[in-house]
Amino acid sequence: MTMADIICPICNRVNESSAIRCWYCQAILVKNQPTGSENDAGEYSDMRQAGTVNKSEPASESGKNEEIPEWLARIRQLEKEKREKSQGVNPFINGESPKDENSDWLSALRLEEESESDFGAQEPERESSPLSESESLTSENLPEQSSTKKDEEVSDALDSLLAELGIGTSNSLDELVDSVTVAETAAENSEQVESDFLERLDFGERNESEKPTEQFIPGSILSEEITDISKKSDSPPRSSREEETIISSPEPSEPINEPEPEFDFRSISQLESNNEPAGKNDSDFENEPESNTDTESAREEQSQELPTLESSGIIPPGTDGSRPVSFEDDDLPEWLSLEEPVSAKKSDARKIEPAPIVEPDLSKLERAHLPAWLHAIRPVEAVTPLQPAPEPTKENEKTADQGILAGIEGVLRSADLTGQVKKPPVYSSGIEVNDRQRQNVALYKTLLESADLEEIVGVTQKTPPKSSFILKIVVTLALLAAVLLPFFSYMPFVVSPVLFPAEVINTFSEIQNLPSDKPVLLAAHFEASLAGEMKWISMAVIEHLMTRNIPMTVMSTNAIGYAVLEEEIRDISSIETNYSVDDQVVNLGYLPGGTLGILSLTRDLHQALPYTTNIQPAWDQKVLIGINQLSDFGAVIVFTDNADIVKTWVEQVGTSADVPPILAVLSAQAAPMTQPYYDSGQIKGFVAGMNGSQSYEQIMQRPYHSTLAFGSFQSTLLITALIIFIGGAVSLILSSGAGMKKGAGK
Amino acid sequence: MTAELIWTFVSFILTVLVFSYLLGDNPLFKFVSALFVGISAGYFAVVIIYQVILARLVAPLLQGSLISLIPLVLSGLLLLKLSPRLSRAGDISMAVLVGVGAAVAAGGAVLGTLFGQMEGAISYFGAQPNGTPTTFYRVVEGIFFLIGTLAALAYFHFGARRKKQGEQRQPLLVRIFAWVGKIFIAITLGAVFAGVLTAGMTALIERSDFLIQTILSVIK
Repeated sequence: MTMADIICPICNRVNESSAIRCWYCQAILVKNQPTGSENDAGEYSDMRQAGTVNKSEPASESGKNEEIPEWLARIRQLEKEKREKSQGVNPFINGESPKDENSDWLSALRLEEESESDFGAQEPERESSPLSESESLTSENLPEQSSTKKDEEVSDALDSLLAELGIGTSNSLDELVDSVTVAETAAENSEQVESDFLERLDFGERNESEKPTEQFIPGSILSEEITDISKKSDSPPRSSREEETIISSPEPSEPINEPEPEFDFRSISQLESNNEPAGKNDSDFENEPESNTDTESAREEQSQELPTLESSGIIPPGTDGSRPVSFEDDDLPEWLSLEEPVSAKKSDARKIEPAPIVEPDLSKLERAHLPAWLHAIRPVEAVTPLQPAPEPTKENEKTADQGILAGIEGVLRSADLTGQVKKPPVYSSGIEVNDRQRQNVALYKTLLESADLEEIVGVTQKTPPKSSFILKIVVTLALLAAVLLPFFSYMPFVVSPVLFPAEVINTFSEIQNLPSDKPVLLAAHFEASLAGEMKWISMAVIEHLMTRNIPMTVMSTNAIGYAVLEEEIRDISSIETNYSVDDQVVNLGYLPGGTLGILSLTRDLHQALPYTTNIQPAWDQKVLIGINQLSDFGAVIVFTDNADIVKTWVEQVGTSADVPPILAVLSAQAAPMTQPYYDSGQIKGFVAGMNGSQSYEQIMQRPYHSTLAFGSFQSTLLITALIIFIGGAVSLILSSGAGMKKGAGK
Repeated sequence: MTAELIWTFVSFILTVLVFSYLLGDNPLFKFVSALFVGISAGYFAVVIIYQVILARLVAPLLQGSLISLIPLVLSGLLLLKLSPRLSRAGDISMAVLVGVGAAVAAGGAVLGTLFGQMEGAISYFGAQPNGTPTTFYRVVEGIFFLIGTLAALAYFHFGARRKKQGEQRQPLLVRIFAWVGKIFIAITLGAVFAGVLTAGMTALIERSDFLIQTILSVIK
């Protein structure tokens, strides 16, 4: 080692001065780092002093011999001589591909891979799996024939690849082996260094668990390949067992030719945490193939000892066994490097007593080094807590049958939110105003500015003028006078009607022709406010029924109708003493349902009106015996103040095939809208208002309330007509005067 | 003092208090209004309980009528309308009421009013409902009714044609009929208003007569 060489602070190996990264572990090298004993400062000095390899000698004295094995020095010397012969200049430094014959093997391999020979056909998953690709490079799978030309092509391709990766100069076959291994690993990881980091680790772990005997050991495999290639040109093909032992001296060739021991981080962690030797690892060491007989005794001793992290090459020598593996920030993804303090804490949390350090026979053991593939996967186990992978549940094993994840297994089921998801309402952040609205706003603003608000408020708060109050009193007094005067004086201007309305005459005729043995259904529906009018109007009709001794059945389609009507019947019965209300009148009460209730009368009369107002069975009454349907009544007389009730009765009952005649006793306000049903013959007659009632009384020749109050009625209507006429005229004059003032003002 | 006299006196006082509205809104009138609303509500409740619930729901159930369970369930669902959370359950009852009511009303309107009025309008030009032959007066009356009906329908026709100048105007015949229809509609509404006014005057006369008769009976 020269003074310009740089010792890797991680693996403690010697690198050339031009190297940026360590050829062995890919750690970043410090250029001005002192060599030899100068480098033994701080943590690394302690590590080296505590290491098993350098424990016999002081770290300050271990400069050259302990770092470079003998076999490696010999190989480097051979390589150096060859390079001096061929070029004399380091091709890696100049960026040129070396024309070494030994490097042509890679090109040959690539050519064969591209030609998709039988060898390639045996490994269909080579491109997708790095494990399979590496397995295809073993000496057992290499083709038997290889020419010098192919070797040169392989060497060129390898050199170009190394140059692209910027690995640096390879001075020996061992370095070349490591560089190629690193280059392959770096090439595979170059595209997905960060994203596939965890995936690679997981992949390696799964492979170890599934195929414990088929481990991916790039270092050993490539060393076998290179050895095989280097011998192919000189000697006939040999068995792989012979090729493993041919190239190097016994002791130093051991870590290269032998498969690397299988390191399971999980088992190591468990080993550390349990602080007891793992039998599994012992057995793994026992099962290792032994290629070198000289190291067999040491191997036996080692196999019985517990492999530590240092002896396994996972951590640099000299570090504590319980200490987590440290990482270079450049090797970590950005996100992982940021999380390093947290992970370090977690690692400390998991830290327990260190595994007992077994003292091996250091004189016979070559210091282990961290393989590149192991280096590539090392960080995650150290910085992240070991959490067992969640076992797939049945739910996770389900395959998505729809959506963008259709066909993918293990898709987590999400809640079905399709029914709950609604399009959110869109609220405008601003107010959209069109031109018309702007004009209205401007007009309103102008009105507010021009108007005197106090004046407006004063107008609204003003009490009505006395003139309006006086006017109201005058109108009231006039009406009261028109009502009251006829009561106290028989005014001669009362004109009784001579011509009777046809509907009144028809009503009288219908009632007059009713059979006396059939009851009449009196259906009431009027409000309490018009009960007085209805009482006067209906008095003549009811008395007519009483004089004919016709039984009556009372019901109503509103709550108060039947009560008012029954009271009136009892009042009239005081006049018509021959009529017994208790025997001839049955009150069926309130029929609910409105239109449906009226329709139910035509469907099932007994079901529609089952009880009387006294909660007695209705159809057991003497009056209603033999009445099973609506047509069994002599007539249906509707007492109402609403024309729609008449219309409903006509529509629901009048359309039936067998229906009794429908008559109506109406308030004056219902007469106009009922007239068409009489003209069309759908009702047989009706008596409406004071006019109709007075006519009916005249026909019966029994003056009752309508006749006695008819003078008041006529005078009131006359006064009302005069008031309307005068009011209209005054309003017309005032409006025309205001219009003339406006015209004069303009 | 008999009960009739007491109720007559109460009626007299209440009538006078209602007439006090001629002097403007006052507490006496408000008292009478509140009394009327309260009495009406209580009366309606009693009527509903005795005439509807007991007579048409409880009594059939006690007699073993299982079909009465349907209105019981629908009534229970309708009561859930009082709860904002469960009000949707009452939609079933509302749907039954509205749907059945609308169907019954529509059928009755078509068969009872539309067809009935068409038949009545045609009868002016043919034999009368009682079988007597038509007269000239009835034919003229029928023509008058027909014109009035068509004119009223034309008034409510708002369709128009777009002319070349972009102006939208109804045809001349439709405009004429619409103008005539406006007169018929005005007469009809005037008649309705007259009927309402007449009913009000009748109520006034009836109450005035009650007051006079009560006073005269007291004086005598």
